[in-house]
Amino acid sequence: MIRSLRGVLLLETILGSASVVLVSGVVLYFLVESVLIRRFDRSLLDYVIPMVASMEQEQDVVDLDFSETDLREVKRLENPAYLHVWLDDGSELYRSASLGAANLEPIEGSREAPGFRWLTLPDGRPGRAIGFTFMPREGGAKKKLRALEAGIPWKDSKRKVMVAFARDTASITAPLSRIGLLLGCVSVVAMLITAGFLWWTIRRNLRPLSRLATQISRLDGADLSARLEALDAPLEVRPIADRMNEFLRRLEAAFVRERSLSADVAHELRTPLAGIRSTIEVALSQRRAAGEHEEALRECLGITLAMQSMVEKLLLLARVEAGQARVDPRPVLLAEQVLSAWEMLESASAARGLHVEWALRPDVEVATDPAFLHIVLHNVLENAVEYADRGGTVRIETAAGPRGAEVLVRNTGSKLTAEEAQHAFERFWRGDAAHSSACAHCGIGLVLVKNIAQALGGTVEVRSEAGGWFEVRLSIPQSLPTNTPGTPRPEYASPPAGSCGSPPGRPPARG
Amino acid sequence: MRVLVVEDYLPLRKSIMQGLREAAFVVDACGDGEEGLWYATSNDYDAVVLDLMLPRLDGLSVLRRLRQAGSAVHVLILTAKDGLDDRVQGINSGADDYLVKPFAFEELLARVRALVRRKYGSKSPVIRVGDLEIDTTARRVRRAGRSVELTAREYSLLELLALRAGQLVTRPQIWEHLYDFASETSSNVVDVYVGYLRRKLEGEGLPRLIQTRRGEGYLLEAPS
Repeated sequence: MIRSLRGVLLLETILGSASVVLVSGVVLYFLVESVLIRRFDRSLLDYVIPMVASMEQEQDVVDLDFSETDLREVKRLENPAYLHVWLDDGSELYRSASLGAANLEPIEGSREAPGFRWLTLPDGRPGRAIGFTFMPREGGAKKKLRALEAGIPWKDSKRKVMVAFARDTASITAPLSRIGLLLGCVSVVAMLITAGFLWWTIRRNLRPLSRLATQISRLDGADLSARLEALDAPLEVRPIADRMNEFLRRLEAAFVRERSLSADVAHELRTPLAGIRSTIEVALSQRRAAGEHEEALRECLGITLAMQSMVEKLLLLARVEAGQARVDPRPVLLAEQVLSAWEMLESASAARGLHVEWALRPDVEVATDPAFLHIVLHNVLENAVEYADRGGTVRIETAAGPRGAEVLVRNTGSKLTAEEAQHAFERFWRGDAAHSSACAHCGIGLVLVKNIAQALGGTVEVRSEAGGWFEVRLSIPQSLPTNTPGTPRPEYASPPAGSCGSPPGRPPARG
Repeated sequence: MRVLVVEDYLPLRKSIMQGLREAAFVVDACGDGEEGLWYATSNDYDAVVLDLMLPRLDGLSVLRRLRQAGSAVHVLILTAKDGLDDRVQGINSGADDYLVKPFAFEELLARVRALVRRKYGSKSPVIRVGDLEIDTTARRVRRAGRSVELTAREYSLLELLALRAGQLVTRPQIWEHLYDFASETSSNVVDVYVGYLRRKLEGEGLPRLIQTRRGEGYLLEAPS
């Protein structure tokens, strides 16, 4: 379910604050109520105590001596209070006129801890009663003294009296309902204000988020130079924008790279295509002897093979870069692999009058994918044969180095400076255009070498000295790492044989 | 007409050379920018076909240096770069025309011919001098309504003289336009070819077209 963050935040915060207001309102209500009841009870007690104090007993006779002031409340006509007094044997001592035929119930309690009870007054109003049992003080102290002096026996009077007094509770309920009403009103108003404020503040604080969303919705694939602006966004949102911008930057760079790559590929293919087309058109432009046509055909075949080799290298490179190359490691002898890769280059090397120096260690074994290793070695060796100066030297070494097995291929006659050589791993690198064919080691051969070597967990380095040695150092781990980066290995099985089986063609075409 | 081709991709260079030669052009060709600049400055070419991505000195630099040296040679840029910026930059650097690879050879030929015509201030592919008519596209020559068969070299000589009709063309100029660097010929070969031309064009009692200025050169003019 798609929910609005704003709506959810608003609803939940309002519910939260409403329950806080409700709970505190209820607590406040009951607090006030208990205070009011306590005050009411005290007033009941204050009413009864003077009357109780005025009662005396003598010789089991209890004497009521209520003053008119005391009885004013029970005697008034409107909203009277009610007083009922009994002796401990249940006989009635006093009942206020307001009771009429009704009675009050005696209530358990003592003077120190009187009992209280809610009740309905005889006239129907709600009320509250106080009641307790006590012993009125001895009234005839002088009489007793005299009787004792005269030797007349004196019996102490020990009668107990129960008193109950009830009064209506308007002084509790009236303020309480006012307070309840007030609390309710205040709560409702507070809730409204809170809701409004929340709505405003949530809207205001989420605005950077919706601005961000608008910006993101405006992004499209055609223009990746756009960046998200989140300068005013809160701290929590800014990382999102930053990440998105970082992502956009990388995406843009990748797009630029892809665009320039396809431009390069188009360019690399256009020149040999122009060669084929021009050769064929010129050949067909007039009647010719069969020999001339044959020469044109051979020319076209040579160009086609070179193009095929380049296209296959590009495809393989694309697969390796996409991580689709499946690496299948097996233990192989490095020297054997080098010699097998060299076989196909032998004639080309002889044709260029190259002197080949060998320094192969026969015992170096590596656990790697032989098909990929073959492509790597073939390309490195082909590179050396192609770009060594005519009659120059190619030196091929293998060794067990610190980073695994090493293959070192060097050729004389390098045209690259040390600095330029570092560009050898860039696709179709030409340095400045002026280097086009003098830039020997450019094109895609070495890029392929580097990418495949990485898929095998190895590394490639080049070193060069203009006019001197050009050196490729290939390091391959003795065993393939279990988690080779960039090789999730889906269905692609092994590289096409043609990618290394084509004859050593001409250097990548330029134009 | 003498044309320089500067292109570093050998198969393309070879086929352009062959095609232009078969179209009666005299062609010099080289594969790098420095050599190309040297060729272009040391000869009076009728047109230069210049690749942009060249070893040692790129095509645009060759072009700029040529123009800085005051050369007015007509240059056609031939390149695989087809971007708008590339084309604009090429023309702005002093190129006269721009052709993107791969191209139809016929188009290259037509454009080179147009550049050559422009050099001689002519816009029509057909040159007329009196009753002489030269169709430079089809390479057909007619004199007084009758078709004349010429060899490639004879045709080149006639075309040169006709394009500069009424002007004296010196023997070294003729030589320069008729022979490339690879040719090893004696200087009197020009006189021999002029002789052949005269025999084919001025036979059967037609008035003279080609005047000889002894010790200087030749001049093609409509008979008065």
